[in-house]
Amino acid sequence: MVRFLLKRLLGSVLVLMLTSFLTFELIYLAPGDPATVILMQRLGRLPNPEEVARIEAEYGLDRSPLRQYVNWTSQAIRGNFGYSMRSSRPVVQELRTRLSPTLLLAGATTLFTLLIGVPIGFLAAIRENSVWDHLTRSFALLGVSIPDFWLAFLLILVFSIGLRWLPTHGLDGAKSLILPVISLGVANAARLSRLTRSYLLEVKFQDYIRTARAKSLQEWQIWWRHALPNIMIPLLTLTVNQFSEIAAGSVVIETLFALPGIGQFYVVSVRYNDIPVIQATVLLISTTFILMNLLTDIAYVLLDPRIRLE
Amino acid sequence: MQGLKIGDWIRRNGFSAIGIGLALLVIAGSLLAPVLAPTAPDAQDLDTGLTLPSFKHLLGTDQLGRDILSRVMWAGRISITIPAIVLLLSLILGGSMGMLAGYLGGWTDQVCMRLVDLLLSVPTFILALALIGALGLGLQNLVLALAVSSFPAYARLVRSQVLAIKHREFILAAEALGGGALYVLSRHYLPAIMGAVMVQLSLNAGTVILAIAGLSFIGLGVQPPLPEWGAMLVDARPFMQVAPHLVLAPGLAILFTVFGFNALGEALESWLDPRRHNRVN
Repeated sequence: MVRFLLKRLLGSVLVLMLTSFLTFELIYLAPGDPATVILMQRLGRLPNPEEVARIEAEYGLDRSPLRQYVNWTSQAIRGNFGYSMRSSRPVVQELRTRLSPTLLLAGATTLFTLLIGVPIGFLAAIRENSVWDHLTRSFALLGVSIPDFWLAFLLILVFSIGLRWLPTHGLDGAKSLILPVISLGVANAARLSRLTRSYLLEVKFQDYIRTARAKSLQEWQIWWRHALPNIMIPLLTLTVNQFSEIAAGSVVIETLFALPGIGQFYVVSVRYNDIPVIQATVLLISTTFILMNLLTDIAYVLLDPRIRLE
Repeated sequence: MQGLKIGDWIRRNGFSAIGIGLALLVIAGSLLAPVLAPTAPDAQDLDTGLTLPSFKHLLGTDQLGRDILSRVMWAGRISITIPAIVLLLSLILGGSMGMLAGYLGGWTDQVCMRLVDLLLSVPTFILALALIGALGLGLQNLVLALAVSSFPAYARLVRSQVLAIKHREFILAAEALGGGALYVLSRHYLPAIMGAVMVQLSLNAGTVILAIAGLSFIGLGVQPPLPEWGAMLVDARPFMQVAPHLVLAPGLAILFTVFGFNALGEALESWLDPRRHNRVN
């Protein structure tokens, strides 16, 4: 177990190092010399050579790329991602104040997809080929195809403009999260319901289910106690993989509903080519993703005694 | 299609069939916009701003008196060709990388797959946005950013497919008969892995169309004055309360197209692997 953990941890650190390198390289993709770009943003005019030299020294841009990378990473590990080119405030401080709306949205959406997607998939699998099964499958296919921002518009039209039940934008209490969570969650819930159904159909004819049936267990016991635990692992993988969908969606949805989170800030930073913020955000998101994958791998071993460790 | 005729499939998957039909309609209407569209995309009829659907303007007009039907059709040209270019680039780039990695193995494989792992460790949409942030706005950068973030999935898929058939008899036979690498790859590997690639392409088409519409929606994709579905939706937002029909047309166009590709991908998948026809996605 310890060896497995160490191996997996080492792998994650390696990917993280590569990701940080990729992130760091972003600054070289930008057209023009970085110092000038930074100054252009800050001053709104072409800088003179002294100003460029000062910024190059401040950001360490005058050193070799490798030195810069090492420097950047060692600062990043200590939580220093430099200053936003747009606001001149520390990047970490900017991101920290925006973390909770995003976590709230992502958490609530994950909960929503699980509570909606899994039961629907279950009912469809139990009554395979029934009207309910066909209906939910069709709606699920529709659900994964709906653009989240368009769904948000439709919801705003009905619930905010028409019925005046919910706010059109802003973050003010749980009520203001309802529409964002639904817009962001429907496609993911649809995907989850389709996969829950297909996983269950795969285990439906396994020996252990036949045994359970032969023991004349009740239907709910068969599904709840014998089928569900056996699809836990693919469901867990799926929920973790949804993270990237939710991260992508929250960028659009936060902008649309004017939620002051990381996603909305990311869009603004991309628009203003605010490279330090982009770098920190990408690294934050990919680190979270890598960590979640690491935790899932550990959870597999704990959840499924059949998985053998090499 | 042993034992399963197209007619049977349509009868059993009516909903998907309708979706594919609607998508074809939207795509045809968009590509033929120069011939079919009632007006030019930016032709203004200032007497009729924000009107409801009528015989003169079948889907009504927007705040500048532009015919919405025409705009949706013209926008479709952009919203469909850009994803097509992105898919083609991803396929060529990812496909050749995956083939080489799987076929050659060794360090080529190692290098290619580490690069793929690296790119896949950042969510596709977030990576595309980061690239746009670094490269700047513009059509060319948009295509580049999306192709770079989409191709790793193709590389991984093609590599796994190549590895799966590498030691099969028909490949060994072709090699034993003295077939060169290029010959064996193009004439024997390619046809064998085409099916899986087509499924991926079809399902990915929906994702890329959504990504481009989403990017344009947040102002980082196709830039005005080019008409684009996502951009049309943002333009419509301030008038949502007085003219909700502005929001419907571009959204439905996206929905139909994406739905069609998803339904097609699913149909291809079950057709290629009838054993697993219950498995979706």
